[in-house]
Amino acid sequence: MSPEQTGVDFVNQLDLQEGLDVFRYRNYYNGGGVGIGDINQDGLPDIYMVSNLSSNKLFLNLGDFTFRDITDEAGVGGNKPWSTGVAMADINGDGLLDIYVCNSGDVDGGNRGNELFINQGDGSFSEEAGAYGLSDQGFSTHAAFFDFDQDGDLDCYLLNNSFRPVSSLPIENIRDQRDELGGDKFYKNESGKFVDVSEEVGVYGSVIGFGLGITLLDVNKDSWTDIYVSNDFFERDYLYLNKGGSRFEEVLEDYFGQTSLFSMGADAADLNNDGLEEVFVTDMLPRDPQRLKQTTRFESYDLFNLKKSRGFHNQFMKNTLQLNSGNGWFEEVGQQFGVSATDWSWGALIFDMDNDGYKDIFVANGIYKDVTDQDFLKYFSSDENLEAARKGEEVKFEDFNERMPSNPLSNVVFSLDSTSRYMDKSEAWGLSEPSYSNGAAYADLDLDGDLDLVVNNVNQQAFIYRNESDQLSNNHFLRLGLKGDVKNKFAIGAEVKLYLGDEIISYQHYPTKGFQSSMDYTISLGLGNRVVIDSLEILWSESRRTILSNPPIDTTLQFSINDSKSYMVPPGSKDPIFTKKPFDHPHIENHFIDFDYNRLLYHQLSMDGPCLAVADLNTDGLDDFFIGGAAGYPGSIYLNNGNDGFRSVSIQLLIDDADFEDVDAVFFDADLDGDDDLLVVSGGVENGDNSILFKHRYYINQSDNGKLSFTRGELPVKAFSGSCIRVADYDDDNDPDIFIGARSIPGRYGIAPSSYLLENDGQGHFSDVTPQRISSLSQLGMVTDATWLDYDEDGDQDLFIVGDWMPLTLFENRGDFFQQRADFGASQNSKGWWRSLMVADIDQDGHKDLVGGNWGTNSMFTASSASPIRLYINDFDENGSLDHISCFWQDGKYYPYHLRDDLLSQLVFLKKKFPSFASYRDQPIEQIFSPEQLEKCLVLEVQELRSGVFLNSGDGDFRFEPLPQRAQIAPIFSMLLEDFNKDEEDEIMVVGNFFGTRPEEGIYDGNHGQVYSVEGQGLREVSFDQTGLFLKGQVREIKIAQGKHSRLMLVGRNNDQMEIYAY
Amino acid sequence: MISRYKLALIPWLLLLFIFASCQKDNSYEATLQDAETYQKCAKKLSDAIVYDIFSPPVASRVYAYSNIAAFETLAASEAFGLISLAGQITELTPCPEPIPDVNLHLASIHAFLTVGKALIFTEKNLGDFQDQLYQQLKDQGLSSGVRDASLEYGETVAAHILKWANQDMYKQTRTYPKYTISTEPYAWKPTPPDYMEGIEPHWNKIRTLILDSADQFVPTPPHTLTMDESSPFYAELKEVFDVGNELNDERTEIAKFWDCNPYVSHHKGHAMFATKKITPGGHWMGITAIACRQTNSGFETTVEAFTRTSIALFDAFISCWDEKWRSIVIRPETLINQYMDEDWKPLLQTPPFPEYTSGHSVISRAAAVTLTDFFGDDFYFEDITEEEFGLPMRTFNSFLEASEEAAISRLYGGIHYRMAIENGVAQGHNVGDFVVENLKTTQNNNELMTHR
Repeated sequence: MSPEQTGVDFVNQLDLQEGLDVFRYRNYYNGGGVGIGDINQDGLPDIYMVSNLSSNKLFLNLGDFTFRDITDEAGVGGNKPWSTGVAMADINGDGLLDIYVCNSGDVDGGNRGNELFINQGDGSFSEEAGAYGLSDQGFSTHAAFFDFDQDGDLDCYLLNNSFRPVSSLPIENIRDQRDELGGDKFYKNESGKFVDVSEEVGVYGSVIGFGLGITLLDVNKDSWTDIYVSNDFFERDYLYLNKGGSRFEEVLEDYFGQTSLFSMGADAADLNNDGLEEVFVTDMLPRDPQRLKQTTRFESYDLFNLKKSRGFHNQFMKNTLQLNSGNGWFEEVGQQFGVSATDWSWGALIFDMDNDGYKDIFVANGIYKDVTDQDFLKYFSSDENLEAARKGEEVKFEDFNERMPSNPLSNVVFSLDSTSRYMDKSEAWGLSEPSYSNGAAYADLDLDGDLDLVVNNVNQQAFIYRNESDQLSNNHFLRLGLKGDVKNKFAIGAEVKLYLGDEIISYQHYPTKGFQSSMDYTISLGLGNRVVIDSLEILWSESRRTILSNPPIDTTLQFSINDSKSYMVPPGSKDPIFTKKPFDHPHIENHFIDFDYNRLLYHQLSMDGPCLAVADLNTDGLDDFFIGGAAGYPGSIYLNNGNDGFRSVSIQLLIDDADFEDVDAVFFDADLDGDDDLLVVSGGVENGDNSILFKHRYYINQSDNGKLSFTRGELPVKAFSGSCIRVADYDDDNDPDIFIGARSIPGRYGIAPSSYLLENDGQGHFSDVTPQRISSLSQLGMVTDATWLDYDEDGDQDLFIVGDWMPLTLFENRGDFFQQRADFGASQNSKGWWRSLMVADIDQDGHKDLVGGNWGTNSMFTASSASPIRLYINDFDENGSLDHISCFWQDGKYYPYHLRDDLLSQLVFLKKKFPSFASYRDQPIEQIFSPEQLEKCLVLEVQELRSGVFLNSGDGDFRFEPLPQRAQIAPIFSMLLEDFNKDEEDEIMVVGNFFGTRPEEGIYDGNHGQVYSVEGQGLREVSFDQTGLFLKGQVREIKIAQGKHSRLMLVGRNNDQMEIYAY
Repeated sequence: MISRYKLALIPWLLLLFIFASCQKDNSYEATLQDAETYQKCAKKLSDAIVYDIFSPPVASRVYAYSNIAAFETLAASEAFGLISLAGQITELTPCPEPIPDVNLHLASIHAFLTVGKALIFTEKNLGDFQDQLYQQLKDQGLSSGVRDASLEYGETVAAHILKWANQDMYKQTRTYPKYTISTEPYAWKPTPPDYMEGIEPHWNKIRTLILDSADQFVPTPPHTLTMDESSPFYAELKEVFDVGNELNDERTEIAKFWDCNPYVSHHKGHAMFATKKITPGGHWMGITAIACRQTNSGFETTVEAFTRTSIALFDAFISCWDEKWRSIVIRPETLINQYMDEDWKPLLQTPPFPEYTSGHSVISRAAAVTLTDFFGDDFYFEDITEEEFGLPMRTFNSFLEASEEAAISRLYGGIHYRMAIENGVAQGHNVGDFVVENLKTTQNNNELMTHR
């Protein structure tokens, strides 16, 4: 709506003035916040707009979307420079909303005390920050008021950005050194006076804290308010658990496997109606590939690891959407949900914009100058200024400012569609006007039951958006007003839950949120077409609760804590399926970085293992196991100790073979002498092709009288980097034969290595029968897994193979030879980044199906048969080494994923062709290389990234069905079919995760061990409450072993401790 | 002395100019005779190297091959008494014979610019300069016959040099493995603010020009790296820290004068900009230019001096980089941040490669030894190379004195230990001596004294 219509005439005007710009003032374009609240108790929310350089403004809501500027009469304009955040809260507990404004001061750091405007109840305010002890002198960004210790009054977390230039700080972890001058602070309200108790309660306040967002939530549902702090630059975010109002415990790394890197604004609210708040944090990753290539550079793998080693956790440049598991951890799904890239983003708000009962995500974004434009950085800087900079003299940054491009951006609204992806509705919903937006706040300004939106813009009129959902849909709503007591009159911290069938629509009452902003205190919840609310619950505090059955809808209800009942949290009782057993065996991955050898690869191949193999080696009826070692570390054999534990036995041959990288292993009676022999596949890319260290090892069991011993056997295959070994008597002569899958040719990624079929002579001697029986194995592809299965039920074993850039491949056993089934329907459109394959009858129709573990969809990579990912492989620069260009499909063309500098560091000759970032950003592959160069390429494709089931129709073909969405959260490396819960029905377990990526892709860490029960036609996840299983890290293999008292699940994790769970 | 000599030239030049403008026929000859024409080409190439942000070793490759192309063009004729480098520098074969009607100066300029443009990335500025120069020559009466023949021959020599250059392992080393960061405590680690990867870890695979091999002059090994406070290494680390904390104006000026860092990034929050400068090799090419001007060296002598210096620099970089990626010594900034002061920053931005030995020390000395051999030891000069980058002139009484200051400037800059400087100077001296002994560019080098 226009200023003429509303009377809200407000621009956060940044006119360049001498001495003040983004180069000298880090947060120059961070903009101002929006505060909404009813300051005169007329039921209409009023609007407070923050201006960086001019007077802030208060607009009184006159109804009907008309407002009047009452700044001067109210006396709330403020007289301190560089105002940032605003919090509207009844700070003195008199029932009237006060206004707290954060100020960052002038460029020299002076005049920056925060201001507190105390509501006098007569339309005027008086500034009393000093008297309340809240005139903090930090570079304040925002403040949040809540009752930390449930003593009835409001305390304050104050977010202060560091005084220090980022560039003056080496990336040293000095998080626990409190900054004497600034730093985040916690103020406790002691009889109306705010006292700094930061150190006593355990709040960090160091010079490396670049806080931009404070988000209150109750992360562990103990009714004590917790805090999420988002930090810009290299410092990681903080999550403070409120320990019963006495102190905070910072637990971010326990709860979040990864976070945003340049964390900006954030919000916490329940997106999936399970009653638990998700956390959404904005960052600055561009969505448009061209803008990405123009303005972005990612951290290097080395820098990421340096920071990680110094305690800066896993941080990646992308918005993060953290799904709350409710069990003490979150799962990051930003890419899977489609919300990870909204360019330079500030405000994040989660609220139900269309009242359909599911909350939406609003992102306010844009930066007035593209300060990270890479051409500006490398080529456009002006000579005179650079001379001054070199001399260490005063630089005329005005000139820089003029040369930097300006590109306004559409704000973004994400709304859930039927496929559990969030789609951008900004255009459809009328919120796409290009802008440089920062703070934003929602409120039902016209009291019509839907939430309106106010956005603060740099150098542009503020946006006032009237929500017309009430006109456009028949969605229902419920508004609630909450009345607290003592000095928390507005009941901050209360939690509202509407129970509707198996859904919970919930709201946590923390109005200060988003970016530098503050929401209205009246709660407004959309209900969609749901007309019956089973019950309404308000949790006021740890011990007070209100319950109302079948509340009315489409109205406003008022509640007071005085009408609530006392309440005790019922103690939970859990009897989970899995019990962790103590065990100590670390897998240590050798220090090898594939990216140092190939700059354009996305996934490291040197991080496979550990592998596991299980057998009863000493024939005591209990299972023993082998666990492989990475290069430089021997594999080990553990014998069952009869008490559901294991003891290691020393095997000299294994110790001798420590230098091999073990990637798969199997026990089987190769020589038919009644004991199990061991075959270990060597893999990795740590050595040159043909290295002896790629020999696969055959250990013949010669145990005698229970004394375990092995001798070396020979396999008739050359050394090659392998992936898997699968045993079956394919020729039906009563001895086990083997298939060994080849993973890659080291240094020649993408070129198909040769896999092998070996035939047993009945005495454990093998011969290579690949040429005569299955010759196409020699050029099949980069195999990752395989399985034998008589899919056509003709009595012989057929071979199924999956791999990297490979489809599901079937070799049908025709007696004398194997026939590759080219007409096999399930292999169509199934080229993927498969990692595992398992046999299971998922649809319980008596025909065995296949479960394929693939890359998943929680990734920057997306693929379909219509728009596959392509990998172009060629020695483009003719220097003897292969170059790998990964491309995505867009509008009929393939464009490299690679940023300019990454591509050009591998292909130096392209520097001549692309002298600037602008010349490269929109170039498809055919503009980058000549037709002759492209013709010579080996082109690989991926069409399917989802893990899924290939359902065997029983008539010779399979049909692909993806696994449930949660299973797509990470690559699946291993699977099991087992009756874990002893219900006489098998469940399947899928595990995985992958960290061998570069920072631009981020890590995959969201699979914590998922169990699905096989029910009729589909799969249903068995909840954590039942499994009690929380696997962390990169699981590479799981296996079952029989213990004396229970079954044991062995969990092999890459570069981590092995774990054992009894069930 | 010098200035008087210059003054004496002016009337002649004026006369020449007047004569030329009247006749308008052959004034191009004066232009092509003028060493300044070559100097301008060399300067334009230096500018292009700065613009494209070449790292110091790679920049030395551009300088060397371009100048060698010019030199070989001139040496193809016996007229100038220059000795071809074919047979002297590794794997270089003689150029094809000059064709009739060639103006060898123009051909050598063309060969220089052709090779230069092939080796840099952004050709536009150098190309524009070339077009202007050729237009000027045309306006000054250069016939199309001479022009075409000269350019054709220059092209031929350039192709010959580029073919040879293409076999120096540069192309292959582009995709050799990047250095894998070691967890060993004293191994080099990337440094603030950009934590860039170590540049050119395989530069010792590049074919040397005069040296027999990259490791022909291995310097004294570094001290044992330890934080034992009684150790010589610790004392040197402490010295870097103390010197950095007690900088005076003179030392600051010296450090900045010799910074020669081709790419310094400046972070301002999320905003960044970069400053670019000539490389240390580029600085010594600049000193060579000054020495040539000061001695009124003619076209051939100028080309010869540039070529000799660029060859010494090229081999010195290989020798130095061979040691850097052998000992892989950690930078003082990393250790000081870790053990002494987590906020400490050196005066100069630490360049992205291992510490030992100091590149400035090695290459400055090698260049200085070469220049001393060519122009003499007692050679006062005013070094204005850095003026265009805003740094005031410094004066030196000899090339060796300048190289001493370049070396110690790295200690003042907070980026090198003393051992890397002193042992680097010795290493550079060995390289320089060897180049001087084994590189013969005129029939009788003693006759050259007339030039000096």
